[in-house]
Amino acid sequence: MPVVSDAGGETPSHHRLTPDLALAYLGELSTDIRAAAVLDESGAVAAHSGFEEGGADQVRGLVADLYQHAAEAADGAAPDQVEVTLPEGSVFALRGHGWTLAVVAGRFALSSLMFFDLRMVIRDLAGIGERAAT
Amino acid sequence: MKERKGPFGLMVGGIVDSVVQTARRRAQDREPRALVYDATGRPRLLKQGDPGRDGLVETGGRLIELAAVPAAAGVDEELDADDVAAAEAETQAEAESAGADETPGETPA
Repeated sequence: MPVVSDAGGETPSHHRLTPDLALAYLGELSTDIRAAAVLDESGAVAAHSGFEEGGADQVRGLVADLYQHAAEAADGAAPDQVEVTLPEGSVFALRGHGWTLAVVAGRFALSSLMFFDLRMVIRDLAGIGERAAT
Repeated sequence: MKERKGPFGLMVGGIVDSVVQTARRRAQDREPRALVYDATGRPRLLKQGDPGRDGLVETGGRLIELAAVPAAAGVDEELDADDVAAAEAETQAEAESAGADETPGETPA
């Protein structure tokens, strides 16, 4: 079988994750996650879990607000990665390859691990490369 | 401030410092934190008064509020309450039946 060089892992693969599967996968990756939402390129909520029933519109608006405030805070380009920690919990948001993931987790969730997981899931949603952990 | 001398003074001083540091750390833990990451993944902690910081904290808080309380927790609480009520009823019934079996003046074994 020929081996194709793909150092950056940017070649689209055929193993594309669906938004619903992405949520299930995230739930398996981290027990700290209380709620999660997957937003598509248009900013619409493609799937969510853990948020109040019928809260998709609110989630969409709040995630948009989150990135708007992050852009105000940024010196240069609008950031793709945002973290807010409160005594009640933490919010992690990451966007890339046309997808945005927003997660509400416990207060003591480790941000580096959380963002690593989110990055992996976004790559899988975009169908890029192979999953790091199988 | 009075200088702490001797082993006892040093020990007390160490304990006081430790308590003060713990209290300070806990206060810092309770303080809202907002971080934005640049393209290389380097975080920047936003200070009080930085543009966008208050908005991020407020929006984050609303997202956390929107995250529903796990349904399983509510179910467990209801089950626990039912279990307690059932156990209480059972205990009371047993006590009543034991009381009915007793003859006045007889000492239960």
